[in-house]
Amino acid sequence: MAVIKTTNKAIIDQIQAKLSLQVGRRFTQQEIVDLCIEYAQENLEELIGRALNVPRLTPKLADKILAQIDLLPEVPYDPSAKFANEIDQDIYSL
Amino acid sequence: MGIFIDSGFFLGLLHRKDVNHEQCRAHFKEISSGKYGLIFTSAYVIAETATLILIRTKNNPITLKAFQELIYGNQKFIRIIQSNPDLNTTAWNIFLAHNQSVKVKKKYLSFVDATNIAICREYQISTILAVDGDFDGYLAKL
Repeated sequence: MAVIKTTNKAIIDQIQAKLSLQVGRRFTQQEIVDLCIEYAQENLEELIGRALNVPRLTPKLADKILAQIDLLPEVPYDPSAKFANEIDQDIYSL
Repeated sequence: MGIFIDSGFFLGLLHRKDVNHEQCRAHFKEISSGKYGLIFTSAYVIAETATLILIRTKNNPITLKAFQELIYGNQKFIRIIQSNPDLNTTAWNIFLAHNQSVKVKKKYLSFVDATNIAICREYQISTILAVDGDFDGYLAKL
């Protein structure tokens, strides 16, 4: 079994106390770590999201971004534009 | 949970003349509620979108810069997934298996789209935000 160090043991103590209280039996810290790993595996996108450390999109931010898009100057738009060479045309026509 | 954004959505959102612009705005508001979870895209999609914007706007830098700002700027909110050897293998398998029996060009699955499916499977992302039907049978579309 691997030995893993944690920088914040107090949080594990808190989870241990709360879990034991809610479930009605005492959980070992090993059981808690195993449960956390199982939960992380089942919620991988949330874990990755936290690891990438990018803020969440909120309704307020969405409104701000949409307002900025509305302020962009007119830009040409050609939905039937084609590439000058056949390779790019084939790649981007899918 | 989680939602993956594909190229067409970015262009539709950023360009007011795009035929899907209003629909993309509505979807953008909807995903901002958080009910679909975190928002992801891939480095492949960014590469594809930048070129798509370049050609559709006749090399006008305004929409390109707006896209760059959306992805990398101060208000960034999208998690960018980079590929890796395992994802590449999965994407190749999806790409080859799908296209093996396809006879019509418009039913082909591009390699970037195969990568999108591979990423969504690997990272448990259940929904894709795309303006075309390339993902029918693979992912739920918003």
